[in-house]
Amino acid sequence: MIPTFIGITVISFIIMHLAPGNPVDLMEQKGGQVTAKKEQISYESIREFRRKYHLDKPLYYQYWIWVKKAIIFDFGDSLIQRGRTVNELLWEKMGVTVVLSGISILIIYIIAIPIGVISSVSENTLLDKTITILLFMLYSLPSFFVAIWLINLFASKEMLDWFPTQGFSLSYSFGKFFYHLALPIFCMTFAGYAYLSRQMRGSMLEVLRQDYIRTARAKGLSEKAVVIKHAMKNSMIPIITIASTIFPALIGGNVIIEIIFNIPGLGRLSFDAILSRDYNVVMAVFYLSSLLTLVGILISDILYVVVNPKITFD
Amino acid sequence: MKNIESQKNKKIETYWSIVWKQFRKKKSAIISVWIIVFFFFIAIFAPLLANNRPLILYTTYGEHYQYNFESFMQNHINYEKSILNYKDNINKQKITQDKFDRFKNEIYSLNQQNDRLGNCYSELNDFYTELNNLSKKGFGNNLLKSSLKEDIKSFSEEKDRLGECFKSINSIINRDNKTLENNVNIKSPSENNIDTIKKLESLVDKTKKTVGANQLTLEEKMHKINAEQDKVNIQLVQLKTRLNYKKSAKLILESLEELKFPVSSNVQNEIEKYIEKYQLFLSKYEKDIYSINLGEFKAESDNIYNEAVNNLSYRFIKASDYVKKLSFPAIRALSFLDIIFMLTILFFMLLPLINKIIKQYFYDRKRIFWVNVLIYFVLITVSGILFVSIRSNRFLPTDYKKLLVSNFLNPSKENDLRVNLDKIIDSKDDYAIYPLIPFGVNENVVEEKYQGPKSFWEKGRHFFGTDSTGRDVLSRMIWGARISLSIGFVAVSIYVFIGIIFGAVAGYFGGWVDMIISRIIEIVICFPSFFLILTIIAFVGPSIWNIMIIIGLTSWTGIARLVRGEFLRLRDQDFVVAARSLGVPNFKIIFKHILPNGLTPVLVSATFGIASAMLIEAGLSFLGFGVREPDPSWGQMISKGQSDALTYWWLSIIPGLAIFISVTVYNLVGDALREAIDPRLKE
Repeated sequence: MIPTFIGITVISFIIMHLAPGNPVDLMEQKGGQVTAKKEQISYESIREFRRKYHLDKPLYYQYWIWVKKAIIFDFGDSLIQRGRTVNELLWEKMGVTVVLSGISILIIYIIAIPIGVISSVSENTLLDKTITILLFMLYSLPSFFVAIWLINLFASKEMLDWFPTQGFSLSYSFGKFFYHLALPIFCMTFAGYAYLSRQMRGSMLEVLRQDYIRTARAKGLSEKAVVIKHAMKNSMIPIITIASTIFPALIGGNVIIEIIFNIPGLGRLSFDAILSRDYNVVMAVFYLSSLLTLVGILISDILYVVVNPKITFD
Repeated sequence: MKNIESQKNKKIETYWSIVWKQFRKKKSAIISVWIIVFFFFIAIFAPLLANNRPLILYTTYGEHYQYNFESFMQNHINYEKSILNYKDNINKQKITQDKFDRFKNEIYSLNQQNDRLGNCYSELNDFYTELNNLSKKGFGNNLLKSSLKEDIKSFSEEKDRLGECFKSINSIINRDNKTLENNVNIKSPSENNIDTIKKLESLVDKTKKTVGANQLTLEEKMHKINAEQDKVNIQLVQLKTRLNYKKSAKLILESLEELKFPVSSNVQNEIEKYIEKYQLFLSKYEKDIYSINLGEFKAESDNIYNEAVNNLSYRFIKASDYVKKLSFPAIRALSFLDIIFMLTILFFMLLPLINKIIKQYFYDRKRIFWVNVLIYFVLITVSGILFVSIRSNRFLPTDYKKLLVSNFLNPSKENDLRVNLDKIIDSKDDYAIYPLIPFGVNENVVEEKYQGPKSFWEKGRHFFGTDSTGRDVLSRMIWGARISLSIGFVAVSIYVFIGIIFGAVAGYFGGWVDMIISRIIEIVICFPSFFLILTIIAFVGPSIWNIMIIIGLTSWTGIARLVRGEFLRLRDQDFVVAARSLGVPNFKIIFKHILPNGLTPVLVSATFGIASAMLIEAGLSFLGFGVREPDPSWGQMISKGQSDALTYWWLSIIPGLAIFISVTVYNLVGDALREAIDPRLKE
């Protein structure tokens, strides 16, 4: 765990600092440009800026300063949005993304598991084949393409004006919350069904071939009882552990959806930060999301043991 | 003899033939394979399928001579200028670059403003519905009162953030506020009240309109800045070429060489003389640009230039000196890679025939395979060399539709307008055969913009319509297939290669090597992959090669884990122990003995990988980090066509469908492969 953690910090630091173009360069360009406030950034203030954020020090020193603070989750100030700390920005947006991803995962599970069970029970029939092909089709649709067309069809004046196109906040009331989230959540979930239900189908098929299922059938139990009570329970093990890998993928994959639907989440924040070279924000996002994944892997390891008593921690 | 005969007739069941048998059972997979082959066929033969250059052309090339002569003059002037103004140009380039970057920043800030406006707009929408509800219920309720106040407060806060853009809206909102607050104080709804509510509604409507208008003006501004940025970019590119004086020297010689093509032999001899003169002149000033005597250079270059212009100008060439010639412009413009890929496809199409011949002489399966490989390479090298030596370096740069319009395939009247009427010789028996889609990737006819898809029989023949600048969508789809398909393929090849090496080393050697590699894998897995790719691309700069390499460098972990698992399973098996005890080197054991046995899951994973790499590329292109204009890729075409998707639906639907079909097809093949090699699922 610890070497992995160090590796994560090193990589998230290096990626940001090997990039050509830094916030100071951007500021210098802005100095010549007519900004909203028409402020001219002087040479002095740039040097001051460099000194304040240690941009004049060697890389390893910058890394050391950053890591010392990152361990206690202090990421300093945002380099671009003056007067705001990275933590402030992060907590503001983190909630939205976590809620969004949480709901999406929940929906994916609720829909995908029954589909997987059904297609495994009716293996190699027409139903199974159509389900497979349909799911793969959903899996292959580019999410941004679907998003654009959903907006055009269900949220435009010319067609059906059912949903709002953009805007979201956690402080919305319950009805409004889902009114605003309906389209984005659909876009985030439809691709996930295929993966999960295929996994479910695979592990169900494996379990259905086991001896104890045959025994259960021989006992004269109804097919329903065999499938739901005996087979499903045991085939859930790999499915549970997958959750830890889906979560970070959702955070990353959210970027496009958050941009299209203008949702003020982590993806949106980090995309803007990348464009404006806001080192501190991007490093913090990388650091936090990979830490989350690390924790997710840990949890799934623990869950694995909890669910399956045959395995021990060694 | 009998032994050989029996060997010939017996079908040997190898592992792969069993997998193939299982795979073949799935009809969807077989159809998918054919679709993939079809797509690749289209992508590889794109230059011969969609091109504004004719496949075969028989005519006189007067315009070609004129064009090349003008480009020769231009090249000479460029060359002279680039040497004379070398230092100035360097400074100019710096300034233009700065300008370009500044525009980039401006666009970014405008974008942000636009987004904030969008947010505000939706907020306003909600406010409006709330107001509607309130007007239905009346203002008596205390609870409603407070919520309304809160809404107004948050709304005006939102306004404050937007500053100047919202001054006009603010004033209206302030008026709103006062009237609203007055209304809130009234205890119960009355007719008098309802009147004010109606007024309020109209006010909100007004604000809504202003917000919308503001958004529009912002977008307009952005378009303007975008256009300006494009202009500056063009300037930048021009400057860069001007700085490169060696290149323009080469261009002079090339355009002179090209002049020889359409004329008779005595004019050709004349041109040859000038080529030699120029070679002498250019080689003299090739070395150090700072030590050139500029005055001397100027005099000499003017001298040689005037002489050439006086003797070679198209005005002095007689009509009888032009010769009718057969040329193959589309084929001439092929690149070396194009030729190799086309030959590969041809080879595979001829494979059954070749095998039939080989089997008369060889019986050993292995030997047949190697003979095939040998034939393939001989074919490629021989025809490649032949091809390259025959074709000239440059393709004809003229617009062929101007050069010759009367052709078999595209006789439409609209295109006649584009004819150059000053043709030197009448074109009675001239002809041109165009490819199936006679439009180039970037051939834009602005008058034909936003044409809808047309059926095969209609005039104009834009089957999939045209885009905002009048480029043919079908042609762009075909050329975009090259990029979209190759990105998946190349990226996956890169990461399969990396993954196999890391996984093999970790699994085979175990111990601390395994531990280190496992840690590295764990670290890379922890990063959200799409976001990581996006970040690196944003910093390194978007280009097709960068995308391939970065997808390759960031997604090898899955393969590495798979291969590691396979190696852990196989490394202590008998055949490996036997090989080791025979003293076979580790390298050979890994790649020759173990790897072929553990390769099938990698194949499955790679097939799925191609699908997801294509989706990643599409997403990146959508965000503007993909392939840059004017090169087409499917994802980029969607993002270009999204702005008015309802009216110009074909611009986003067609590339979207293409991505969808190709990704589905890869996924279906991957799934079928997985089931074919899965021992659990066999009866």
